[in-house]
Amino acid sequence: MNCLEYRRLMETAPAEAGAEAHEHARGCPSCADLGRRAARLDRLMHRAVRVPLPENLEARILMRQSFDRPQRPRARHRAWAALAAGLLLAVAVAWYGVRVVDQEARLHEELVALVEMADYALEARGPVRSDALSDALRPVGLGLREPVGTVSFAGRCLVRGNLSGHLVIRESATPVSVFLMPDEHVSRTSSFRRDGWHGIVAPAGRGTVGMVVPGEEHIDPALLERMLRAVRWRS
Amino acid sequence: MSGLQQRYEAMVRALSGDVYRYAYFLCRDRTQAEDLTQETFLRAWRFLSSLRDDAKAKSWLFTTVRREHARQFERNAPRLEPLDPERVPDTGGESHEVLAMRQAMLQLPEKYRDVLVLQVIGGYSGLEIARLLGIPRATVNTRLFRARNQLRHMLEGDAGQPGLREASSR
Repeated sequence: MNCLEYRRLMETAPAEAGAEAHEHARGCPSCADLGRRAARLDRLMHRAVRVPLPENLEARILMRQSFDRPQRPRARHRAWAALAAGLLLAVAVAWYGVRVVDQEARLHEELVALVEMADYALEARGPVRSDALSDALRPVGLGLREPVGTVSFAGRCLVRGNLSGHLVIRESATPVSVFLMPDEHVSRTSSFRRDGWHGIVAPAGRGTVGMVVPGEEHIDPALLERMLRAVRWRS
Repeated sequence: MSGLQQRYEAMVRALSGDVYRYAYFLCRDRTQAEDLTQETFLRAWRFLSSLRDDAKAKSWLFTTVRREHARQFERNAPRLEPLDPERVPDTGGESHEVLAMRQAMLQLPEKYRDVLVLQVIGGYSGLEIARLLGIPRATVNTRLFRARNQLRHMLEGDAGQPGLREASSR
């Protein structure tokens, strides 16, 4: 390591200095001085970021979590129906439209969060054998009528508190995360871009299919068609 | 207590402080920082069953804080005036040099402040920050360099504080 490299390291990330940097500093008094000043600045920053925490922060986080219950779309639909009966039709329709858009956005957000949390699914290389695929989907009450392509991961996840199928289809360099959600019921196909991801959600039989790929990629319509055709939903 | 609940509580105990502090340095407001922290951990609870590797929880939490901050507050928040050290609450008897450094960090432009606090609070390397933010490593290094450089300039202007000058002089 030379003086320029050492200086660059001290001015960006002194904590990342390794044996090579320390050895250089031992033989170079001016760099050693620079390193000491950088370390001093780092220590001061570490003290500065320790802002006092709100009182009982942990307890308040846990209390809020204890009140959280999985959302049940079906229950909400019933509530909507009861409410709509007491309102003017036009108001109810408008309100319903807003809610549908809101529910779609929440589902999109949920799918993106699941893809990011379950990154092991994207890292799996498979291929998953057809019997293992069936085993993964059976507890959800789902089956496949026909092959859906090269599946590199098959598992389950909770989508808004409801057990759902989670597959990764890998037919090109881009893995496609597929969610088979028997308890989600959307009225239309919607696509979305969010947090660097691109996705699509589509009504399918007695449930909903969601697909998510990295934001710069596109979703092959043929794959969506194949999924819609292949999934056997629970009755 | 279920295994999931135990995992969640362990995560809250281990990471809530760092998550709150990261949120605070993003939004520069204690109430908003707590809201962001609460919202982030609630989302973590909902998706915890999908998280197999607890070591990745911290990155997910930090990413969620940053996104929630961008969504909820960035567009609607009033532009904050340059912060005055006298207005920083709950100093807790900390030294002037620590408070001045905190003040200086809070005054950094957000893109510099973000990478710096990820490095200092999160303990992330330049490469890890680049992955978290989805930007090139060289950009991270440039921002870190400018952040540290601006801090030194800001602190050198704090006359009468030999400790700071010593820490920041070149």
